[in-house]
Amino acid sequence: MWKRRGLILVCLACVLLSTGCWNRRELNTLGISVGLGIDRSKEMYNVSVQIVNPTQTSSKSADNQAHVALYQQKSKTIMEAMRRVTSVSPRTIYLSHLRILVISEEQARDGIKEVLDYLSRDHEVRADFFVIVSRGVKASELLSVFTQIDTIPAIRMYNMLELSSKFWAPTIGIRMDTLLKEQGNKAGRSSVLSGIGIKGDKEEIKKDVALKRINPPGRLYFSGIAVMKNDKLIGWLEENDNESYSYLVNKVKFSSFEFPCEQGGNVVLEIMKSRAKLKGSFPNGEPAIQAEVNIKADIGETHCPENLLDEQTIKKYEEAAGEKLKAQLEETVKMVQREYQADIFGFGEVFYRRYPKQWRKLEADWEERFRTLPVDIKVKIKINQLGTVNEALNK
Amino acid sequence: MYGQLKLNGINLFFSFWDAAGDRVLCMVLKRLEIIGAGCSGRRRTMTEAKDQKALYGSLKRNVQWISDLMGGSEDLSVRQFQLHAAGRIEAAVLFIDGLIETELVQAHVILPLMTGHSKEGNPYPDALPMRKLAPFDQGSLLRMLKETILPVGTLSSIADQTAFIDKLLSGNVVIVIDGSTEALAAELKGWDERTVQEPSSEAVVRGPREGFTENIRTNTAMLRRKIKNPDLWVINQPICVRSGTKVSIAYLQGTALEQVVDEVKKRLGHIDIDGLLESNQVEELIREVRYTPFPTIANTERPDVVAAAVLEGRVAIFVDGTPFVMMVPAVFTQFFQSAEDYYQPWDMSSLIRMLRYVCFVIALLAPSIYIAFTTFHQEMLPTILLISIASQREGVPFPAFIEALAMEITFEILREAGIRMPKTVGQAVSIVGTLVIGQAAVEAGIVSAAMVIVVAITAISSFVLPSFSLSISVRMLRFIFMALAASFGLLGITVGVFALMLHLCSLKSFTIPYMSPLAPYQNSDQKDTFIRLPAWMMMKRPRLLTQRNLTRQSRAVMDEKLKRPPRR
Repeated sequence: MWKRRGLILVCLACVLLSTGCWNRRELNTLGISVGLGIDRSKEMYNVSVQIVNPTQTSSKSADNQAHVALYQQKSKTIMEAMRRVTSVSPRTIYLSHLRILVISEEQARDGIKEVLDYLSRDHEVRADFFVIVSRGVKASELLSVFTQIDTIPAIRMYNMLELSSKFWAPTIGIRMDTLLKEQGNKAGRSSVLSGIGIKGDKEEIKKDVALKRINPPGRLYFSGIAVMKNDKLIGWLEENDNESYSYLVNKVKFSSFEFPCEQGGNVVLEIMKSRAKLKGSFPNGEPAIQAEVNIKADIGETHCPENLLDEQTIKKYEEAAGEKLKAQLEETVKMVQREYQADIFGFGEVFYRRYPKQWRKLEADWEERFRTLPVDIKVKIKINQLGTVNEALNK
Repeated sequence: MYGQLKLNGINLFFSFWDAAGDRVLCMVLKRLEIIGAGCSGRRRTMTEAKDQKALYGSLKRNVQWISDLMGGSEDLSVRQFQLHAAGRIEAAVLFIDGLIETELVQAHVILPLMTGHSKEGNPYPDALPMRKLAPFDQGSLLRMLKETILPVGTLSSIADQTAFIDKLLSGNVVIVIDGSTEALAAELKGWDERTVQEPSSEAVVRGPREGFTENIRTNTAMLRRKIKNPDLWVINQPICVRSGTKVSIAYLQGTALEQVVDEVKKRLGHIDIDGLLESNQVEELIREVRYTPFPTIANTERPDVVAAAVLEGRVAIFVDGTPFVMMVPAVFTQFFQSAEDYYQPWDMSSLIRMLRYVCFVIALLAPSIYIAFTTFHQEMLPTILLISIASQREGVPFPAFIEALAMEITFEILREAGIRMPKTVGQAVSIVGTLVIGQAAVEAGIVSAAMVIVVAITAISSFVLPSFSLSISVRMLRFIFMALAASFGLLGITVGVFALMLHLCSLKSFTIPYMSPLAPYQNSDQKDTFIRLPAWMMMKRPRLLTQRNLTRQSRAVMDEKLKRPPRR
C-alpha cells in the first residue's frame, strides 16, 4: 500500500514538475513595451518599440538615463520586424502592457489593415490601448520625445487621451477594441483615429535638457481626428467638427460649451450629461436620419449681466445654446457628407439594426446615399444649476 | 490468572499466564470495546510487576515491600511509632514527600494517633500484641481509628497492594498497623503548583482573566464554577496510562450529542501508553484523520471558552498536568472565533471576524499570488504597478520563487529563534531580524522591496488568527501553494485551492462534518460563522452539535427587542 502510494507520488511529481514553468518569465527578463510606432519606409514597415527602463523608474537607482528606450527594426511584415527587434533589444518584447500604438500619417494613408492583423492575432496583446496617428511627424519621433510629469511618453499620451476625452468633448481616444469593431463593421461604418502631433521645436524636445525647463520647447498635443475610409486615412476633422462628432456618437462625458448672449459677451455651459439618439426612417421611401441630442448642463461661467435667477433668461440661454450647437452639428455632418463620404457617425448601422430588410437594398450604394442622406438634428439643452454664485460678477 | 466477565449476557471466560499480565487483558477487552472495565488495574508499575495481592499482616514486611518496590526512593517517607489508643501496637505513616501537606499530617494524623484515645477508653488495656488479635478485633480497631481518632475528610481503607500503591502515589497518607492486613489512606494532598493566572496565549482586553492551571481538579472546578448545574457531568475517564495521568471529560448531559460522548469515551479507552504529559498527545492519539494539516480538535486555556463550548453541546477533555483543555467536536469556523468576539459589541466582532477570514487567505496565498503574478501573469497587474515592481526586481539575482522561499524561510527561522529565546536575547534576535530581513537584504539587492512587503503582510496576517493550531497549518500549506504557483501560476493555485476545499470537506471531527455549518449548510448557524449576531438573536445552539436540545434562550427576550406581542 505504502509502496504504491509512494510510487504514485513520485510519478506525479515527475510528470507535473517537468512540464511546469514552460512559459515562466521573470520580470527582469521582460522588456515591458508601452509604445509601438509604425512608420512606412518605402516597401518596408519601420517598427519602433518603446521599452520601459526599469532601473530608472525607481527613485533609488535612477542615474539620469532616459526612462524608456526605443528600438527600431525594418521588415516587410510587422511580426518579422518585431522579432528582429530582439536582435537590438536586451530583453524580450512584452506586449501585454502596450499603452499606445502610433501609426504614422503616411502609413495610415496607405492602409492600416496589415498592421492591425498582427496586433489582433497575437495572444499577448490586449485590446485596451489607444491607437493614434502621428500628425506631421514620424511615429518614431513621437515616441522619442521627453515628457514631463509622466516621464514615460507612451503613458503620458495614454493619460492625456484618457483624461482629456473625459472632460473635453473635442478630444477623442480610440482604443484598439473599438477600432477592430469598426473595421469589421458590416453596416458601412467608417472609423476615426485620434491624431497627436508635436507643437514647438521637434528636435529640442528629443533632448533631455527639455525636461529641465519649466516651459518645454515643444510638447505633444492632440491634433484632430483622422477620418478613415475603409482602412485608409482620407482627411482630418478639426476642433469644432471633433466636438460635433463626439456629441453625435455619444462620446461626451463632461465638457464645456460656449455661446454668445444678446448683450455681448459669452456664457459657458458645463455639460454634465449628454445623450444622442439616432433614428432612421423612410419619408417618401428614401432613408433619412433623425438625431436627437439631449444635454443636461450647469452654468459654468458668464460674462453677461443678465439676471440668472429669472427663468426666462435660463430658457433663453437654453434655446440660444441649442441653436448654436444644432447649427454646428449640422455643419459637421454636411461637411463629412460632402468632403469625405465616410459614414463615421454610424448612420448605416441605424438602418442595419432597425430595418435589416431595407438595409440589404441600401447596402450596395450606401456610400452614394450617405452623401445625400437627409439628417434632421434636434438639440435639447436643459440648464439645471447656476454654480455657487447666482448673479454675474460684472453686473 | 483467570477471570470472567459478562458481555451482552454472554459469559466470557479467560485465563492466561500471569506473566502476560493485564496487558493481554487490556488488549482482549479493547477488542471487545468495553475498555472502561478492562483497565481498572491501570496502576501497574512500569515493570509490569503483579501486585493484585493482599497486604502482608506484618508492618515490617509491608514497609519492606513498598520500599523495595520503589527501589528505596528517597521521597518515600516512613514514620514509625506506637499507637497510643492501642497500647504498644506498632504503626507507621507512609507518604510521598512533597505530595502532601506535612503540617496537616503532623497535626491530624501523627499527633492523634500518638496521643489521642477514644472516649470509650482503651479497648486494649492489656496491650496485647496485634498479631494475636482475631480478624474481628482488627476490624474494630480500624473502625475506632476512623470514627473517633482521625479528623481527616477523606479516609478510606486499603485491602490490596494495588490500591496501596495507587493511594500512596497520588498524594495520600497511608497508615499501616502492625498485624493488620488492611491499611488506611487519608487524603491530605498538597503540593506547590502554579496559581490561577491570566492565560498568556489567549489574552483579552475585556473578559475573564483566569486561565487553567496544571491541576485537573482546579480546572474542573473552574468549569463547575461557571456552570452550576447538575447537568454538567464531569466524568473520570479510565485510560491505560502507566504514569497514572488522570483524564476527565465534561459535558452537558442531555445537550451534548450521545454519539459524540460515546465516541470520545471509546477513543480515550483505546489509549494504552506509558505517559501523557500534554493534551496534544491525547489529541494525536484520538483524532480520526491521521494525516491532515488542519486541527480537528480545538484547545484552549481559558475556562470561559470551555464553558461556552460545553454549553453549545461540545465535550471538554481535561488532562492532568496541562492547562490546555481540548474541545470536541471542532469545526473549521470555530478556529476563527475568539473569546473576545462575545465580549465586544457584536457589530465590531463581526467586522473583526471577517477580517480574520481575509487574513487567513492572505496568510495562505499572498506569496504564491505574488509569484504567480510576477512570473506568469504580468498582464494582470496595472501597468504602473508592474513597472514599479519590475524596477524593484531589477538586479535581483533569483527567480521570484527562490526569492519568496528564501524570505519565508528566513522569517520562519527568526520566529523559531525568537520563541525559545529568553526575553532579553529575544530583542537582539528581532533587531538582527529586522535589519537582515528588512533593510540589508533589499539594499544588497538580494531581494526586492515588494517581496519584503509580501512576506511581512503574510507574517502579520498569520498572527491575526486567534487559533495557533490553525496558523500552523497555514504556515505549512503556504509553501505548497508557493511551489504550485511557481510551476503552474494561477492555474496551480486554483487547483490547489480546490484540492484544499475537497480535503476540508472530507474531514470529520467526532462524527461532525468539519466544514459545517458551511458544508453541509445550516442556515440557522450562520449567525455565528462569518458574523456574530447580537446575543438576543442567538436563540438556538449549533444545529449539528446538539440536534435535540436546541433552545438556548426563551423567545421573550427577542420578542421584547423586536416589540412583538408575546406568544401564547
